[in-house]
Amino acid sequence: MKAQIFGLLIIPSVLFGQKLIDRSAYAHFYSSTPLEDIEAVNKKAMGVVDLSSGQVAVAIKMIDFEFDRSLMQEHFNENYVESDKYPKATFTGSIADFDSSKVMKLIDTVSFKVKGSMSIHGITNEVEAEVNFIANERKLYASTKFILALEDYDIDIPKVVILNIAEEVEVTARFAFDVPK
Amino acid sequence: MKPLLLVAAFFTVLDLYGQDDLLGLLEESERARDEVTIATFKGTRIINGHSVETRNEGVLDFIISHRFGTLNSGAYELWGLDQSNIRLALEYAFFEDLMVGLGRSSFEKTYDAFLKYKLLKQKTGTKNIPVSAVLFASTTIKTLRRFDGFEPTFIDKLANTTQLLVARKITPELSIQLSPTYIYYHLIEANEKRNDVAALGIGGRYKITSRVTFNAEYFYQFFNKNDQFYHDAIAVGVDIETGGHVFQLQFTNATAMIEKGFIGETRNDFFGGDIHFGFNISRAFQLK
Repeated sequence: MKAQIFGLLIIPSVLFGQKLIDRSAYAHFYSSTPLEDIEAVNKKAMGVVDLSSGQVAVAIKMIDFEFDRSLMQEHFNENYVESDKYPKATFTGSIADFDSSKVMKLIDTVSFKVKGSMSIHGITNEVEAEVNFIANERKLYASTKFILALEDYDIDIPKVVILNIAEEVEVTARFAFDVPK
Repeated sequence: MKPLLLVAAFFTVLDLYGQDDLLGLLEESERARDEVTIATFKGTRIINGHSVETRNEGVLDFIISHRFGTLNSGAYELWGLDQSNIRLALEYAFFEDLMVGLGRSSFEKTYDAFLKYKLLKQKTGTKNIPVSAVLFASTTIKTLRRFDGFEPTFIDKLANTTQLLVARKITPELSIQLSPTYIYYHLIEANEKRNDVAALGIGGRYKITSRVTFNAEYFYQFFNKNDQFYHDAIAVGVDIETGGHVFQLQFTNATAMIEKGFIGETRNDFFGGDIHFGFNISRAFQLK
């Protein structure tokens, strides 16, 4: 409750074209098949939200995805996403019906649809996902979860490992933006 | 509705500017940091010789290598396939930059133990290091029985190899490696002139697709035990990678799969057609 009151207090400062950046955002993907579960975590993702316009952008270096198995990490970069050629996954988009006061009001988690273009492996697709926002006096948190089809981004799965790698992976991302006083 | 559409259109235009800005802003606010070059080679060997790759901490590599007989042995020997030399090895990375290996070759019934330590990692960023460098040291014990009545001591059976492997991933496709090598043999035959070999290996790989590379390797000997017997080792091959396996298929004039053998004791002449077909299969297990 206290947090909510604080949140209300900071709305005015936030309304003036504030661009909030998180340089150590969290991104995670998970692929599951009966044979094998594969997951990787990226703790160096970057995200920005412009509270005046509701625009968002995300940039994730592929090389920063960490796997439990080091060889898998190498293969991910070398063979699947080709991070030499396409070092980053990016997203730019805007929050539909964005209302920054609503975001900061924190009565509860506020959910918005975000639409925009996602680029991975040199391929850009228009995508849409639900993003949940919640804030306290110091941070504005955003999180999202969506399904991504590897085929849409031209990421080939060789036949020999077709049973090990799912065609669709679940992506989770979490951002924590510092709210200026 | 119409004014709304106009406003929407207006904002779309703004959007485009804004979005470019935001990505640019992210790029600008990126913290400078080092990026270590990965996968200079697909395997821990270029073909016969070691590459600058070490396994990551806790990875156990099981490597099965074969060299068949020579292609010019003819149809009766099925172009060499009737004969086969094999090396079985377990290679483990105890730490991030240190790996050790134990192997056993059927050729001359030789055991080998090696240590590989990464001295330098190619990286870009705040600090630029143009090459990766690895120190390689191995000892081999030849246990093949002699039939000439000479009884070698334990020390006599040993040969030691020291190498400095220096490689650069020049482009995502192309990597080149230089491997200065010194080998000392504790025992030499009566018709051999000296106990040591100095050589310079040059090797490289070119990536054809993301999973297939073309590799080539040559070891030039500055001096060796006896010029008349021993040739420089040459090898060409491909690496094919599928998940946890790397298959390496090669043509080489070397019979041995360990340094003291292929660098200093290759008796076959590549250009005389004494070429072995062979393969290495590596299977990696993450133990921790």
